[in-house]
Amino acid sequence: MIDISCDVMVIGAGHAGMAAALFAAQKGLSVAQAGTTGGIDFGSGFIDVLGVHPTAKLLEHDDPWSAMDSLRREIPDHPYTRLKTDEIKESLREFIAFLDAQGLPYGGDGQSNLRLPTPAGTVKRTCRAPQTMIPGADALASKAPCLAVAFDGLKGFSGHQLTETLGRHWPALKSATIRFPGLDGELFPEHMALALSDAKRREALAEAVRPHLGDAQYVAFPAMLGILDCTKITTHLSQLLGATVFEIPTLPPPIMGTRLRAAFDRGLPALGVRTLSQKTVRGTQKHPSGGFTFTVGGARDEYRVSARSAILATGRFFGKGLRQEMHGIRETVFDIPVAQPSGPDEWYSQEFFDPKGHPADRSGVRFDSSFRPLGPDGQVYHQNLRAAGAILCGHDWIREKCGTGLAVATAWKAVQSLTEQLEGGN
Amino acid sequence: MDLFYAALLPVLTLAVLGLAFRAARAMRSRLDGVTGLKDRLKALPGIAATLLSPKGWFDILTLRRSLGGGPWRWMTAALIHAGFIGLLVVHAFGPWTADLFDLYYEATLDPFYFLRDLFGFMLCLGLLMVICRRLFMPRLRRITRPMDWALLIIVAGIGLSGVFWQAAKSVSPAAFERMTEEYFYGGEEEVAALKAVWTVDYDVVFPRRPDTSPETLEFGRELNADSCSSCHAPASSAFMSSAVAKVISPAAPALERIDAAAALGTLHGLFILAGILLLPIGKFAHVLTTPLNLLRRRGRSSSEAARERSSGEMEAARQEGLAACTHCGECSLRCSVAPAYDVLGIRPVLPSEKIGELGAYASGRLSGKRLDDFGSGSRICSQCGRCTDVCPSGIDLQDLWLSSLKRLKEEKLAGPQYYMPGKSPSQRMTALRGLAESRAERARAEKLVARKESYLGCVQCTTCTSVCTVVNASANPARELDFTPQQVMNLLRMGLVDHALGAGMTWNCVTCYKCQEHCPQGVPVADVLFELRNIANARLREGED
Amino acid sequence: MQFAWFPGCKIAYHQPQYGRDALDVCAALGLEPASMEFNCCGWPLRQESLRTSALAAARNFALANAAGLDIVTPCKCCYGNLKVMAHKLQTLPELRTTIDAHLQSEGLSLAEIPRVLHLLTVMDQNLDKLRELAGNGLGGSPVAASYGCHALRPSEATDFDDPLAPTVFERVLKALGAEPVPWQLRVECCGHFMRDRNDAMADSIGLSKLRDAAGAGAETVATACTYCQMQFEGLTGDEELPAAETVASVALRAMRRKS
Repeated sequence: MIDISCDVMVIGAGHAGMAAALFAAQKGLSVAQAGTTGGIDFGSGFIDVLGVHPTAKLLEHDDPWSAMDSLRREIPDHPYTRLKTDEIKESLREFIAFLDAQGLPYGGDGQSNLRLPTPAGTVKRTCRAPQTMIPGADALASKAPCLAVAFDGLKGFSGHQLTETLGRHWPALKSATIRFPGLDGELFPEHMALALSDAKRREALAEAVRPHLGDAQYVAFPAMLGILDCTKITTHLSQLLGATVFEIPTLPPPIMGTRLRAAFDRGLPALGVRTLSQKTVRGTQKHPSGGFTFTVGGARDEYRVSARSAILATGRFFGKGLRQEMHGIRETVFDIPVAQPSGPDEWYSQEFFDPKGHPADRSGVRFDSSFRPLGPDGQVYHQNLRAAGAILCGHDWIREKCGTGLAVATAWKAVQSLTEQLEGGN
Repeated sequence: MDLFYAALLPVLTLAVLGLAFRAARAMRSRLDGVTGLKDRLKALPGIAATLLSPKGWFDILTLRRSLGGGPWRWMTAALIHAGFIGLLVVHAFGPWTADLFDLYYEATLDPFYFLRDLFGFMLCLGLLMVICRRLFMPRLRRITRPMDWALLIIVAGIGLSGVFWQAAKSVSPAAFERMTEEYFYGGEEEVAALKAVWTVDYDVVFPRRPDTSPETLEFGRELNADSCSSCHAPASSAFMSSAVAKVISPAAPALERIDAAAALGTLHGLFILAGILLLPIGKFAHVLTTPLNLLRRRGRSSSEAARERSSGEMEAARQEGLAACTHCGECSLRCSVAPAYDVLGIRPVLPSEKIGELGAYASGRLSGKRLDDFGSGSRICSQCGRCTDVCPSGIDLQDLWLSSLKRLKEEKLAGPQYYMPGKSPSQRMTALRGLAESRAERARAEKLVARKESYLGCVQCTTCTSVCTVVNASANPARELDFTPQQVMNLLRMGLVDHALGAGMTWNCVTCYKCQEHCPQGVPVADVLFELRNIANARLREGED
Repeated sequence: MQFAWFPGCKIAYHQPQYGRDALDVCAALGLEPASMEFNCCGWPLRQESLRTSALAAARNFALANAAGLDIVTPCKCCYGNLKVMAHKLQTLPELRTTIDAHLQSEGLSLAEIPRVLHLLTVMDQNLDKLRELAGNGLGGSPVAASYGCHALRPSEATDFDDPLAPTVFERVLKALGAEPVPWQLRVECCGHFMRDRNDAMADSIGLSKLRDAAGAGAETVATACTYCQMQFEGLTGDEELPAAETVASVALRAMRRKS
């Protein structure tokens, strides 16, 4: 076994974990991080702060911050109640600055929600979005002539779906389904993105799109315009087409997952983070003196990490931070008690699309104002442990449309609190 | 003896004709499948030129290349070669050698008498070491063929029959009677004294042991010195046959009655004639082909350095190499991929077995299972070059393997890994159809393909396909690969192993392990694909049995 | 513990220079791996059967055991197979029993599985020495580190580096005075495995890597695997492509330039 020691062990490599590792490293702490493929690899890349409240009424908001004030009043257990608006904004600012430095710029003013098209033809409110998707908000708002380009074989993006649904409010939206130059059969965004790193391929793509352009001022592509070179590719295509090119997310597998991974894989080691990708925490030991020893590995124990502190950012069910078992929901790393419905019978509503959501989706670990998880007796589980992201109880990020914002902001606060504590000599 | 000399000429003629036939066949055989007869004929002068290579002669005379197998190996080879060549020089062609040195020749006269036994001893010792090596090294024992034993038996036969013949002659009183009648002039007393000397110094076993008192011996030795020793060195010179004579002396009367000496003499002659007659066949010809090949190699060590100037010369070199194999098995003892032979039992994995099959392949004589096994052995070879380094005959094995493998791949005979990618799914499934689940599959320690548990976690998220290098490199995955990785997992989840075996994805997988690494649900995609190929290989192997 | 040198089967005939350079690098670092006779690591045998590949690897382990040595190798395919088979031998008792029986019939036994290290790890353990020897011999020349696949994956077995965000190769290059460039396809396969099976695909995969490295501004693509080096050396494109060079050659070049 390889021995590692660090100030902070970040458990999880999703939005919360990546953000926690980033913030801790930037604060000068030594960080080790373990985590596997999970939710972040299947997301749209939008940074949702708050889109819907209350979920039972399906009420959407253009001003996430005033909606959040209402939410804090009405859902006192929600993680946002422990965060100030300024803190959330600062966390997002730092997170986005990092992504920008890796070649993944984000747009949006951060004050009001953007309204962006989705591949289902719906409109989603989100606070910040990848810069390559931002012009979609302008196009949608101005209902300008726009061509949506879909590709034969790319199952996760349908031009017809867009025009059917979105076209009702946006008559100038047209779609065309063309062949992706050089690729046939079943297509996947990652392969298309890699292919477009070649300028000649982009020229061929523009060539194939041009006959369908008409008077379009905007051209929407499924999100596959490169990986960390997406700005270059989008700019080039805009030039070639004489229209503003933007991306619309696709159904999974989404390119943003690959982009975010690439950005973190490139940027975090450069900040000195010791990454243990595709490894999980297999065993934990708490020390009376305050720290932890974790055994980390894939199929067997490979690393022994001595950490002064830890941040639990293991996600919910898809991230495997929580596991549903016969008699209840368990937290998989420390076995911290989980706030959950009284029994499995109570987990789900009868209706899949119940506007009130499913009670199981609000389960998670309880926490205090510093985001320290609470143990069985309601006391702090461990002085040097924090939790961030979907593992926290009290939110339904899918319906509230608050996933990434919550993950990043709670990670930020957790790191703040930890830094103060560690520097205070604990 | 007259019969022997009478048979010698026809036997020699047959041998020469046999060698000529073999050379002609070698001319027609093409290892690279390409070089034509004209180019081959143009290479003939080149062969003559190699006869002048000083480094080649050095290798022949010092057996330098046998050192590759270690000092004991060299010793064994040196003993046999020195022994046999020595016997040729001082015994078979003794009279001519004697002329060269202006000596009087008698087989029983020193230095010839002693040297014959010395070289005979060396030969027998070397043969004993070779036989022990073949018997006590398990891998060699398993690959030793009847022809290996045949050559050993014949050479040992020549040597041992000679030793025993001399011993039988020595102990025979009839020979003594005959010789004294013809060449000795003396009375009874003298004869008696002579008998005494010949009992003590020459191993003769008389029916009644003569008086061997010191005075008689002294007298007898004087007589012996006058009459006999000009043609007869004492038995102590022929130390080996003398030792044997002493051992067989209790049986001397019986041997005398059956005229064992004559029988052994005939046996000796027959062994020699057999050896000459069989000279053109297989490894018997190595006495000529191995030196020829050593000359061709001109002392060069690495295979790269052994390239010839034209394709005709290259083919000639290859044929010479093929013919030079003595099936000593040194290469197979050092083969890097011998574990494949140990597990799979495919003989042509081992270089000494592969080279024989290569000759047959080049002449178009391989088919069916033998051809498949040869293809398997050829592709399994990892081209480490060690066999080439240790080959005592200096065969450029590495070149033989590289050139034949190239041809096998072109002819789609190098195994499923090479021909399956280019086939259609139905062709692949046809190739594997009807082949029962193999023993190897049942015995596999890690069974992933057939177990549903392997796929329980699969949620068809297509991450494996997204990260797949091969899907990325395919302009049309559906056409080129038939199914993408997550689709193959789905097929297997439904138990459709045959379909998965027929999928292009299975055979075009580049084994980069990205799928398995990125899978969020722990499905061992890459290991499953490996197992599919193992299953196909095992079914094809066992299906031929 | 001392190390045995495991060059793998391909170096002797196909990449002898890499073998020599790698040993020269070890010597410069004051290391002298012992030379001994191994058999094939088992990597190319994995297609044939699991047992064959496992036996090949295990036999090497037994030979190393008998000599009291651990193993260091410059080839990533050798490294990968030795590590994967070590993992399987440890997690599949049935396999271990079968292999033990095979070894026993040859008079060998596998007491414990030796450590297996790749050349890059050894160089990474001697960064100060590399810096001292190389100085600024390479003048910050832009080099793309090509990790390839088999040392990184499957990471549950290989213990080499982070499979998604590895850093060891860049650290070594930096210590040698080169400037490692970030490039998209650095952990992708080189494609050699498909050579002669599907040449079009092998070419496509290999060339896309070289082009990506060129696009990232690299003058050289550094390899640390016999097969990767063979693959890149054998590729020619329509355009100017960066030269492929083994990490050992880069190191020696730096050391020569410095002095």
